[in-house]
Amino acid sequence: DQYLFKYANTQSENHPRSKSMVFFKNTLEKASQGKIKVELYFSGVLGKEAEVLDMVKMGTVQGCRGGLFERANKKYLMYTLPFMFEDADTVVAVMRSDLGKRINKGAMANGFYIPATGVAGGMRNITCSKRPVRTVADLKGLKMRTPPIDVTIRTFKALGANPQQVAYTETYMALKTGVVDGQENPFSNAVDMKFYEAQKYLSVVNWQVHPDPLYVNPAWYNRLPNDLKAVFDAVAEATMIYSDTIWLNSEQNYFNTLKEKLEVNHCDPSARKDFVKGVKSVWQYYVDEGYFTWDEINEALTIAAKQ
Amino acid sequence: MQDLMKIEQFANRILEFLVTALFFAILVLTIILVILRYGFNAAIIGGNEAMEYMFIYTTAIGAAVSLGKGEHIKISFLLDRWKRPLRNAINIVNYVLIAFINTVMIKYSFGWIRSAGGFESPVLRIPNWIVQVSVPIGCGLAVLYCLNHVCIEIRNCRSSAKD
Amino acid sequence: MFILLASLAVCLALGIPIAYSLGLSGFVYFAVVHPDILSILPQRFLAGMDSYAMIALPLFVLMGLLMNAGGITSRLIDFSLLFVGRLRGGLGAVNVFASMVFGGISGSSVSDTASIGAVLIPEMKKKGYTAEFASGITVASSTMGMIIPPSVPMIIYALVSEESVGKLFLGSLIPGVVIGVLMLGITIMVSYYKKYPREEITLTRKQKIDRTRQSILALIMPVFVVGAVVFGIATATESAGVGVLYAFLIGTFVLRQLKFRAIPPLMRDSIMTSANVMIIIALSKLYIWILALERVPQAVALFISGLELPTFVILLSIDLIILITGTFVDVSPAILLLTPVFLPSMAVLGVSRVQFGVILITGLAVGLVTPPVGMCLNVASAISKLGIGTIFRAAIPFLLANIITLILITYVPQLSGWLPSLFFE
Ligand code: NA
Ligand code: NA
Repeated sequence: DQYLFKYANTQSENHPRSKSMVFFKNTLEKASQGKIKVELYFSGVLGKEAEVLDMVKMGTVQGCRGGLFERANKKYLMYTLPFMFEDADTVVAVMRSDLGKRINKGAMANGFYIPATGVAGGMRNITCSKRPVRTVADLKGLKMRTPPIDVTIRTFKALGANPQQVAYTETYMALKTGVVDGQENPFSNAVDMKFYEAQKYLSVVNWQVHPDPLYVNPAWYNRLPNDLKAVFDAVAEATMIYSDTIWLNSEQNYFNTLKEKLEVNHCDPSARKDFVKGVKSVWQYYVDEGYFTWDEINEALTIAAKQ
Repeated sequence: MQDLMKIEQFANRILEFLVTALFFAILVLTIILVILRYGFNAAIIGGNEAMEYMFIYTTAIGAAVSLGKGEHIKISFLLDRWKRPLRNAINIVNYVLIAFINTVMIKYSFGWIRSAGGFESPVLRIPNWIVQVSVPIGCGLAVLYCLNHVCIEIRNCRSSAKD
Repeated sequence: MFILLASLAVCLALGIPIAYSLGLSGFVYFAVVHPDILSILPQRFLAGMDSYAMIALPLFVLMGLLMNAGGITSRLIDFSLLFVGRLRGGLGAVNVFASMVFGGISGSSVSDTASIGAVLIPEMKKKGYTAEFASGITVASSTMGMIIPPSVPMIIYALVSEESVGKLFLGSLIPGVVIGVLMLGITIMVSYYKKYPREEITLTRKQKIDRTRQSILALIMPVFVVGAVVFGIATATESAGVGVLYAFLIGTFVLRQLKFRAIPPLMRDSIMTSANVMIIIALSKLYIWILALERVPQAVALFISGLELPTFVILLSIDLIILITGTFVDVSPAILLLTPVFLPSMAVLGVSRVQFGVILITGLAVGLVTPPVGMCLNVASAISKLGIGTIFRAAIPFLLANIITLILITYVPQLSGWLPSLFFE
């Protein structure tokens, strides 16, 4: 028990991310024959995502999961490019490919060891009170609540919508009173926050997904003897596979709930091409800024196309 | 004694002006954001983030100034019971302790800024260190105010001993 | 844990400011228990100062100051006189009623004591009320300032509990009004007993209409500020900002009492007040982090469920803990300390996040009027030149209203839950 792994995330204990970390704890403690002990801190008790990420880097805690993946490696942003992947399974395939492993390794340069990456929930989709979003034209002028994330704001601006920043907890009322017309989130959030009560249409456009790296403090990892390193890596990979499975399954259940509450439309292939065309400027922006190259985008698209 | 007080009052005026100016900027930005949203259906991207960062500086600097003025919220009913020389001594101990905790903050902020200062903020993409240095700046000012008051209290002790 | 609490007690007793006492005892804890993670101190400190929502604090304070300087406060008191002045103990009733109205504008009880006390305490003394009665009723009724929305403490609670500010504002409206009504009743009873006078209202019809019209300009403000937050039209910070603009416009152009030159010092005072509160919040973040690391909330939850006591006894004990904490700790750090410790246990007891928030804020408000640490007492003592103990004793009968309401909202969830459910379902 000389190796203590303190881990934190901001979700509550019933959340798929937390549940998969309980799996991590049980599996790792058993596989290491009790040599590694895991302490889990959920519900953000140790701080917000950015703060806990700092702590992992400094070694105050040893591991965490959450957003802000750019801080580990700017190339993670590639997974979040708008309309790049058609569904969550293709993203997962890219994450587990050699390209995905290279991106994980690249995080070492910024002080994070990332043994595996999964997806943070299902694809993000649009709900709206005004009209279904079938084509790019439908988004024009819609007031969309977006989180304060650069890619998201750029995407909705590029598509002619009007992104508005509203705190997550106040979004329900903002939707209900028409301060904003719509929002974008995975199905699970739309159900948890009861957004469907204030919305009419659900447009399954699968516009984006977020990666979910397991951040580990490298100094802590390097202190492990080689056999425990191997055990740790294996359990980490198994945990992220388990996490993807339970999280995506739960998304499917949430989708079924939403189907009963909202008018659902899917995005047809030709409309999707228009969306992709509409957001190419966003892709180009990040290439210009040096986040990743067109070669890397194309490599990811090739892996995705094989799915 | 007079000179130390004068320097401090001068510092107070400059720092309070700075803090008030930041607050004015926050206020104006708040109102502009609302007007833009409802008047022009527009937004300043990153406006909220900028407000947040200015607000951090008002706290870090304002709290240091309050130390000099003795305006912090505290429980003083026990302290008030002591007689003059002992109260002076306790005051000196307090200022030393406050200077100490602020020095600790400064000491550890260097490693922290080196390790996490390069991260960028999510919207404005400002590097973190610009916000993080508010800690050593605020704490540094607090230490200076404490040292100044330790000097003032020591002189007070001496002059009351002469009486 | 013992080291943490003991060193905090020593620091506080020495008279070290609350903020730095929290910081110092946190340091002692780390130095003794976890010297390896001392490096976390500056990060926790910054995390505590970093809050968009708390920008509402200096804005609400500034709004209150502008209203005093612009003559809005005195108009509101005139207006209250028209309403309840003819009751027995008229000025006492006016004091309570004005606090209810003013509570709907200001976000804090301390500014309520300062604004209303400065006008009414001297006025009541002139009319033959004792200084004790005048000060006691002022501090007790000002507790409504942070219960009736808008409320800065509620915004702090919303942050910690991740509950919607709009829901919390709606939830605390009825409890706040209940306190006001009970206090009016107590005032009238005490005034009969002490034979305090009724107020003659000698205004002409036209004067009455004028005063009402001017007051309505001021009364639109709370409806607007709270409405904007509840309906998601603006954040609490934004509505406080617009409230500042509105108070400025009315004071300058309608009532013509606000001078441009008077504004910068008011701005300085508001932001310095904010810095003094925010530094406490910043350093209590460190403390809360230690509580989480030590898994104190889980221990508390386990302890509570292990007691096997009936729910109503547990709830009553939590009320008591809130009251006792409020007696010794200032409101904002108390919210930050108690919420993470008790909120996880509340769901099991059938208490919603909104209800717990209203219970917490109502209970802590009492602490503002109890020695040894009572911000409202300090302010009233400066105005009336009475000792804080004297003012507290005079306030006791009125505080009954707070205690009764606290018990009511603890056992009747509808009092805090009904209004939010109307809007949020
Ligand atoms: Na209020
Ligand atoms: Na108290």
